[in-house]
Amino acid sequence: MKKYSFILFLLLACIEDDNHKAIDTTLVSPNLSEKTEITFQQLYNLHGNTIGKDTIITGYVISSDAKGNYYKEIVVQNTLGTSDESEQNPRMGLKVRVGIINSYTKYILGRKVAIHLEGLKRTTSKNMLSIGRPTGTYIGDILEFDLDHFVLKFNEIGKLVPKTVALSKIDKNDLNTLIKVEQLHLKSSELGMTFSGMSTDEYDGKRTLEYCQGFRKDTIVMETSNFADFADKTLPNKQLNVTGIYQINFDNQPVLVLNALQDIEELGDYIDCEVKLPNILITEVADPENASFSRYVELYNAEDIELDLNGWNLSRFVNGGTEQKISLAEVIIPSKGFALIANEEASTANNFNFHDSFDFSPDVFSSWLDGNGDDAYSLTNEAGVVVDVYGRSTEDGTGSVWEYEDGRAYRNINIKKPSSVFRLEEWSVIKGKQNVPEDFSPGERKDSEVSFVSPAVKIETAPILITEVADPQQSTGARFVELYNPTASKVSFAQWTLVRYNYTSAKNTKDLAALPIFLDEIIIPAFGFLIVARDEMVFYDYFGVRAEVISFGLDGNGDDAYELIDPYGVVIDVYGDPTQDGSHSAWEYKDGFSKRKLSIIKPNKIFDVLEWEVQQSQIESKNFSPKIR
Amino acid sequence: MAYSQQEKISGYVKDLRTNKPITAFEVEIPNTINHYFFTNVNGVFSFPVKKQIEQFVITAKAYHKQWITVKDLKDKVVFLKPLDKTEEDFSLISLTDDQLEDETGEVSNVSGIFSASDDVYLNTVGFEFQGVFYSTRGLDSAQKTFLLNGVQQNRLYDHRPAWSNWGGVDGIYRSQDQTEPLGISEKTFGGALGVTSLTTRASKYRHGTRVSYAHSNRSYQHKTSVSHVGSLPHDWSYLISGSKRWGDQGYREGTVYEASSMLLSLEKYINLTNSISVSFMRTPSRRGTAGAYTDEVFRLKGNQYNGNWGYQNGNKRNARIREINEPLLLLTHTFEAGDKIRWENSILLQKGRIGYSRLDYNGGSNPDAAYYQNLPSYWLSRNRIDYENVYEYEQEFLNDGQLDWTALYQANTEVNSGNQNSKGYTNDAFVLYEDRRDEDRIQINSNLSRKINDDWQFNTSLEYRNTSSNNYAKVLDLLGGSGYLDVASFTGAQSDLNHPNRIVKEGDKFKYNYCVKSTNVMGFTQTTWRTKEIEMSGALGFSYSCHQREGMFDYENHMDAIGKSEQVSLLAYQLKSQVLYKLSGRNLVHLKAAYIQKSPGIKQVFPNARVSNTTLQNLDPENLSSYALSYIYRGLGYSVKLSGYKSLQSNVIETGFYFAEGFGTDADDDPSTGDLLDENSLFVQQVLNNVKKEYQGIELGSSYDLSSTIKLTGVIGLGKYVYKNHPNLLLYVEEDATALDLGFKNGVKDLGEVRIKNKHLSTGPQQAISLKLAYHDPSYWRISASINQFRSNYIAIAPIRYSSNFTNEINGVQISNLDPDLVATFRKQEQLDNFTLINLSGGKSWRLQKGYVSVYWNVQNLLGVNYRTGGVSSSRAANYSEQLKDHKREIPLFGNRYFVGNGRTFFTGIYYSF
Repeated sequence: MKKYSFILFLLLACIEDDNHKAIDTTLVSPNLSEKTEITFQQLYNLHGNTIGKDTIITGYVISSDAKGNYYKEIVVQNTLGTSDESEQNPRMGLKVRVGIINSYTKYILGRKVAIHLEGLKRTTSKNMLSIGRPTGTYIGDILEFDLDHFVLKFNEIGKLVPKTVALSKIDKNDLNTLIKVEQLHLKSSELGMTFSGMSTDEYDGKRTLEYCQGFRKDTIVMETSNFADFADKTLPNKQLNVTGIYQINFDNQPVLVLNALQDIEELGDYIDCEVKLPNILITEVADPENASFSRYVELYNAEDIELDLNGWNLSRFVNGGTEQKISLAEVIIPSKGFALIANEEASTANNFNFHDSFDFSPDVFSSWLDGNGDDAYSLTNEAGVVVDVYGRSTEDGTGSVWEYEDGRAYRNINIKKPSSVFRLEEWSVIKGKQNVPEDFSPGERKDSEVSFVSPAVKIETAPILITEVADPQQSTGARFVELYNPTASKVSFAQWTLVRYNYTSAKNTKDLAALPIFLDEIIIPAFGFLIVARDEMVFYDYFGVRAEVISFGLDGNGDDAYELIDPYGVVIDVYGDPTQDGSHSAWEYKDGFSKRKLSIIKPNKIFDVLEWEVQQSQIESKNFSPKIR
Repeated sequence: MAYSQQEKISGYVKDLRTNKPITAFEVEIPNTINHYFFTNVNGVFSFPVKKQIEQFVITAKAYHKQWITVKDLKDKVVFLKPLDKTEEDFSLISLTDDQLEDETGEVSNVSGIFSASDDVYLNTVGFEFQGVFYSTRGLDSAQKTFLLNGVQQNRLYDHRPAWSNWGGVDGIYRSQDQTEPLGISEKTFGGALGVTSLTTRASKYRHGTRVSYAHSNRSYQHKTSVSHVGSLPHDWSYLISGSKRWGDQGYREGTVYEASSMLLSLEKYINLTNSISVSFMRTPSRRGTAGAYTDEVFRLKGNQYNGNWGYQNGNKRNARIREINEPLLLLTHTFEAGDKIRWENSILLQKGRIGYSRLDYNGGSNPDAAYYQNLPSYWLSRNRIDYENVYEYEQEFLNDGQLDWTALYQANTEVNSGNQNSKGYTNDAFVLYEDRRDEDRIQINSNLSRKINDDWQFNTSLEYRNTSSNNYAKVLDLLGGSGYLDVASFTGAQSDLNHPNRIVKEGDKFKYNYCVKSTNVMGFTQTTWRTKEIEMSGALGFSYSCHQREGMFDYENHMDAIGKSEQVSLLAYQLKSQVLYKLSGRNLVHLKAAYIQKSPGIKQVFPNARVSNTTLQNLDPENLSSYALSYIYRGLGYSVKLSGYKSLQSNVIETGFYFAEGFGTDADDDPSTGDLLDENSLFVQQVLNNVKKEYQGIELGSSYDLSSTIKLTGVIGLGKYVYKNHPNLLLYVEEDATALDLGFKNGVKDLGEVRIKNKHLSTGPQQAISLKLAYHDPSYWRISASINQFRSNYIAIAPIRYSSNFTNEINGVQISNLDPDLVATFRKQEQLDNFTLINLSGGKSWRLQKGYVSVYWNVQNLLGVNYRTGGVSSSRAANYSEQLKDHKREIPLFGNRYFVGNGRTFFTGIYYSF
């Protein structure tokens, strides 16, 4: 068999392909002793965009494209934790343009990296620190072959702790860092949508996360790429804690970008966003006769907690025209306390300013706080919604019932809620001859400040009735409300108001739902009618009679209530329940009308449906009876 | 000097290899009518010479013709060299291996098998036309039937021969019985390219021992083999054969090769007429494959480039390894009574597996170094071209351009190291797995030949086949990872809804898992009638098959992924007839005709077998009518065979997989975002249904003896193979929302007819011309040179370009601004360049004291010509707008892909038999 042995040897020959041993992937951290490390802040502050020799920064990877929501970029943060390292090295983030997809397979979340800055270029547009390969005036991707030169990996993976922060407190220092926002939910109108990839989403889905608690409602956009793996997932209908990276997007919006769906933590059932408006009200407007530099407006916090008026404004409307907005950003108003906004003029010998008049400082000075009694004021919250008003912003107050020239108006002591509709009955207006300090009460509401009607003001009221409300099915433009004068005298409607209450999801309180229609100085004869209609021509074409007052606000489709308010702000008559949406109520007159029964000849502040004949779905115009009882 | 009249010339004739006397031979004296036949146990000859002669010729059956110069006939012993194709056999295995597999690793071309043929044309095809994918008569390997002891070796899966089961077995071809195309076999009906019948019966092999070694740079570098055939008392014979072929790479880089072959066979003659034989064959092989690439890739990296491999710890590792191990056991009983009756009964049992490895990357980027996004053309196609990028990517591809195993391991390590932050949402990015087919096969065959009388013969056979295959993907190597998420790469669809988000480890089945059970019964009868002037035969065959798929995984995107499919029953029949008319002993006319039906294979019956029980709508058999007429002249010093043929194939089903874009209206990719995926793109399984193909041509094989030692061979094959109708195009896709939007119902869409009539088939060169000069020295060495030209080679068309989908919007309205000239350009089929190869071969044999030594060598493509053997048009652009985008690019991103031929290669071997 000896002669066969060489053959056997050949038959046992091997090839190099056999048994590949696993590749050793142990990482050796780079030796950076020759390099100079700078902080993110130093990089940010750098003059010029290119960086010097042997300079590095170190940080931790906080973004991941594992789920496709990042594309050719990684975000690196200088700390793992939530607080600043030092004043010179605050917590900051940096976007690195890397020319690879699936970069998470090279830079996993938490990987410590050093970025070798020499040869790279930095930008700080939109306050976001970014770095990449210089290409002309821009930066481009660091090519995949160069990544190992520019981005050095340490053998360390840190545990990332997002910074928990309230939406209202996020600022530019949080850009490109990992943050966590608690107790959010998706805007209710977006529920049922997917994260992105809908036909309206061009490259990214932009969904609104809301935070609301007590008197606040804050929002931020959650931006998700159409290419993200979870793009087609439906938005969660839950309360959420959301962790993401805070960035400014292409459209200059602040956005939160997720690494993965797991960054959303579901807390429990969706809590509908019912933001209560805090009871902050205007309680005094002042134009002292002896000290015009002391003009002021007093705000009162009727709540049991102090409130931050960040985002709120007090506006002055000069003679029904120009709006002058005074920011209340710095004001924190104590519980049951006051905030005073005063003119900022320095005192002169015969014209003291507020401080000198009252011996304490107001909370806000403004040259615009200079109303001489015929200018209206309105208070708006951070959402821009009108919370409270004094006077009518659209009219020159000269000669009006609310003019307080050389005097003041105070809110009657019993009024604890603001009103977006001016109600004269809540105020006491004292015109003329009021002097500082004795005739004013800044910083307090006196027990004596009860309802007071100045005898000098001549006003007119009357027992006017609402006699018909109509929503013709055939012609929505012909909607109208009919008012009736049951007295034997003629009546002027100067300074009367008809308020329509239109409840929607956004306008779900009485104040928000109110749509006041100011009636003109029209005089109607004894036993005469006044028609308030939506569209003059449509109304005339449909009924063949003329309407006296035309207002686009007169657009009730059957579920809206009406209040008739006289010049004193007193509710004279009412149709429906102004505190709620009338859909499916006993008084709904959708596509039809509601007529006051003939037997009713007096107005009634408390609505009683029995006084009315309610008919829905009326097709023919002859079934309606404007100007006829 | 010369012998005078009335002298006698005498001597002995012996076998050069065995040194044993040859008992029957003849002597011819050129230019005379003198012809002597000798039958003599001692091999003695003696004949009178009437006039002065210098040379004469000794011929014997199965031996090379030997010219004798009278003055050299000193010791009076003449050795004849056996004509057992030993050298051809040697190279056959090498040559055929080279072109066995197409890009999917399936056996597609077995023309090399013809090198062992006596026919000049076929021998040239098998020998000189190697490596160029020349197909005899344009037909593929499914038309060549292989038998082992009468048992059919073509697979029910695709009708192709299971070549690897025996392909490397040393010496098995010496037993082969081969028919020419449309020829008649005693044992089975066979395909249009004929039948190759092999045997494992030890008694049919020559006794002795043989060892050999070969060296090559084609598919492997080394081959060793040893075989021994012997007998024992009490009528036992045995055969032991083993060989091994191996190499780190062939002509293409990184194509590792490792194959062993073993055949053990034992036969016992129970009596004079009955023998029982048991054979065991085991031929495991592993081969690294090479990819097909675009012009851009070959231009940058050369023809030997292969992106499938990369270095791992300094060693080359190929990600695409095809591994086959299908041992089989064959029991055969034979009854033979003289030449009157032969009855053979066999049972074949096989349990085997075929695996083809590849990388999957549902968490990472496509690791292929030649992926289009890694090539300069991609960076040139950006909206804003950054030339630095183009340059860097080109340099990277030039300097490396290989698979980066280290990066794969690092990526898997990286994603596994950050789990404290990722809340478990990352899994391994990459995995190496194999597509597996584990097949069990039982076959029972009985075939009978009966000679009724000297003129009339009768053959029949019946065969039962039962196969059961499990098909699944199996994790081979986690590449340093900890577990791989079993969801589809692009869609994220669950492979098995019963086990959602499963994490798989090494050895686990994943992705898909189904089995197919098939049963087949086939039979044939044939009768042959021979007289002196005429030979006629007629044959009739039938085949009945039944297939059923059963899915084990409930794939998310198909309704019918799990459970059993309907049972598909298929019936096919075949007819064949031929007439040979002998005008004289040297002038013959041969007419052959056949009608062959072939049922769709498993691969076609279940077009989306991995994930769906869906069966093809058109399950009718494929029909092939084929006719050939030959004129044959056999002269003493020259011979000619001229044939004309025509075949018409109808109801052919062609399938293919690809990723295509442009099924919708506004295929508006934004290349600047770097991602070309959009809603209009789909991964589709294409089924071209009801295809008609026509094959016609002529074949000429001629040889001429220029002198006693120099022979000239000339061969011409002129074929024209075209599509003959406008078939229907069906696309099968995932049943998801995108597909539904694009008009697919239950995952299928009929795109209507594709206008491809008269487009050429991509069967390799359709025309070839060869001229060969061979010198045979009487002292047993020889050398030959051939020049071979190949013409008329077309790349495969992309049928979707010929559909209405290509020119229309999804609503059926023609795409606006359609340029008809450009449409014509896009629909023009590319013809590959003609090329000419020069081959050299030679050898020498020695008779030793004990035994016989032979060396053999050949060089193919002596001049190192670069050539392309074939290619495919890209189907990526499914409509005009997409194609236009690619057309406008400086270098196309999705250009045609090519298969390249070898450069200069050699093969050399030596063997010793005793």
